[in-house]
Amino acid sequence: MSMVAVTLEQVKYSWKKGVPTIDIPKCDIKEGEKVLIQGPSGSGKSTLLSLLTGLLIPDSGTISVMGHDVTLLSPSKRDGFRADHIGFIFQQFNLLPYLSLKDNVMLACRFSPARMQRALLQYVSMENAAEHLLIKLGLEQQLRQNVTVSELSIGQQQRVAVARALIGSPEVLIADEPTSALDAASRDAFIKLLLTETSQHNSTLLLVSHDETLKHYFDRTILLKNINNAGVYDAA
Amino acid sequence: MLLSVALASSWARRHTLLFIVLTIAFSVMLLLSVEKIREEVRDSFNRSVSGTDLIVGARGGELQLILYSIFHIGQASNNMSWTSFELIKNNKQVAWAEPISLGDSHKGFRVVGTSASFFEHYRTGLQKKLLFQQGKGFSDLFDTVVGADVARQLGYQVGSRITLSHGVGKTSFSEHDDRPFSVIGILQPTGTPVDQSVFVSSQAIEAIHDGWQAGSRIRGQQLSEGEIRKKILQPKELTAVLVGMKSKLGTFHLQRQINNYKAEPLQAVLPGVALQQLWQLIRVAENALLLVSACVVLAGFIGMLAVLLTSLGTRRKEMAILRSIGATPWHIISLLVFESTLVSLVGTITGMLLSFGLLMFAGPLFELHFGLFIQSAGLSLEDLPILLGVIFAGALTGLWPGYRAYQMTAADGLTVRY
Ligand SMILES: Nc1ncnc2c1ncn2[C@@H]1O[C@H](COP(=O)(O)OP(=O)(O)O)[C@@H](O)[C@H]1O
Ligand SMILES: [Mg+2]
Repeated sequence: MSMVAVTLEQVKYSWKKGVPTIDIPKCDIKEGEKVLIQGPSGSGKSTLLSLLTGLLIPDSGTISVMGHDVTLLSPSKRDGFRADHIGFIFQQFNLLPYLSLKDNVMLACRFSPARMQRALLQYVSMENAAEHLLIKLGLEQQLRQNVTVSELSIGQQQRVAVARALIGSPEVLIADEPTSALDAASRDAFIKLLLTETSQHNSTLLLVSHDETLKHYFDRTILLKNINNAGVYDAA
Repeated sequence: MLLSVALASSWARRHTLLFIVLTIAFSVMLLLSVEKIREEVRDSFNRSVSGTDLIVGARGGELQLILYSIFHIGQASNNMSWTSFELIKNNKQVAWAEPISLGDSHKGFRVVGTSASFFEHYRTGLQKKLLFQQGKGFSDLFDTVVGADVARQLGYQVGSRITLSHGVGKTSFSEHDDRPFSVIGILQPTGTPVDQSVFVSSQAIEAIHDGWQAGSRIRGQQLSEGEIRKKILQPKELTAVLVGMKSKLGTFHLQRQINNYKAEPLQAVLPGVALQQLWQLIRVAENALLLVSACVVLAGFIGMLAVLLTSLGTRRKEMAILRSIGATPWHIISLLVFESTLVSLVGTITGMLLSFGLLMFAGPLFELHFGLFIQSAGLSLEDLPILLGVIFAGALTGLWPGYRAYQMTAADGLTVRY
């Protein structure tokens, strides 16, 4: 079975009037698919992700994620939708430095009763769920020693971010250049871990990067310039 | 839930927030202290005239009469005759009338010539009678009763012997040192000018001035104590009369009678009305003081606004993270409103404590230097609107940074841009 996780149709978005950043006639991503989106800096990759998460609304067109048309939802429904269905990983600084590792992970459930429910169903308590994920992602020692966010390496911080994106098993994981701050060795380890975990949760993964070497880890690679009619591609 | 995140976030920035807390605390302290002293000044004045229905004296300013006769501020320009006092005292509607003769002093404290029944009739505060902590009222010609402050500051006991000075200056050269008095009673503290008074009988005032003329002794006209005691000491003049009515209804009638009295230019004053004039006089100063305090509070809030808006720059990422996991704009706004409310709340409570501390510490100084007795340092109901107002204004102050934060996250999408 191959249900569609994400569909874009005639999506247009411009930051400045008359200068479109995104103009995508059609794009489908299947459920459970691991997709790498590539494009040079400034080509609109992050803008596309903001549109998918419902933080930005396209000027025209429809975007549906897990069968919901994001563009039709009210602003508060959109925020709730994002909380329920999407785990997001930033390039860097994903964590709130004043919260413990566990609290950072559990934070994702605070805005989504649905994800909290799923986490509880699987692990009985949210604490358990967070601990379980952190240990699986190789942070057992840090968890035991109760280290603070600022004591973690960037790679370790990114792994905590993965745990937060995974808790409560959202259907779609979106990562915006999560490896660009990592060295080659930890980058490969990180991507492998991310792929294993998303496969186990049967989540769809959309990962943005301009790193060519990551290609072979993914089911499919989308070059933004191939689907996007807008943007400046000779700049990079 | 979001509350614990907000608390943790504020706690992480506590060093910056501490300064706004202090700014607000000091402004609240100032506001509360000014308000408290204002209340206490009024209370203290009202306390002193609580049982007196009318004050009678030589014609002049109403306010002036109450100031010199009760509060010992300034001096009478004219005296009234003892005959008029007797007339008032014997009026059918009058329950009691006590003479007040001023003009002498003892080591900077005013001497009040009155009758022994003064201690029966005078009331302070909520109709409280004067009580003796030691001894009793005067019976002998050369007995004196002193107020609590006089006894405490000069170390007097029952049996101490003192002499009075002519005039009310601190350094009076003309001493009535030939007529020593002995302390027969010491009053309990009242928080009124009574505490700073030395009471003797009206006859004693007459006695110590026997052989005096125009403020100095007449040579060779000195009577011995034995001779003085034998002489009939009928005072001819006095400074003022305190009157208690049998029924309050008669007060206005008697006041009119006295004011229209043909034989002597007298005036009768309702203490409450005269004090009202005083409040009107000092209201301008009070309001100026309150305005200044309010401006300090305002400055505190502007400081808070500046700090909150500045912090948004560094908290931009924090907001983006929260938005990415599903926080709504309302969550973002409430995060900042919560913080400004928290800061104002902590600031207000700290300010309250500081104000209590200040008044507790400065209370005795006020009492010593101004005779102002700060009764309770506690929170009064009138302060509540001020405190709630400050906290509410603090909450409102958070709305703007909250809205700015929301705008920022909306403009950023998921990528924080600088
Ligand atoms: N918040 C924003 N406000 C205005 N312009 C923006 C904003 N974010 C991105 N842009 C513009 O949109 C274009 C694409 O940016 P972005 O999506 O961040 O590219 P990428 O992630 O591929 O580097 C750029 O030209 C950038 O200047
Ligand atoms: Mg980008």
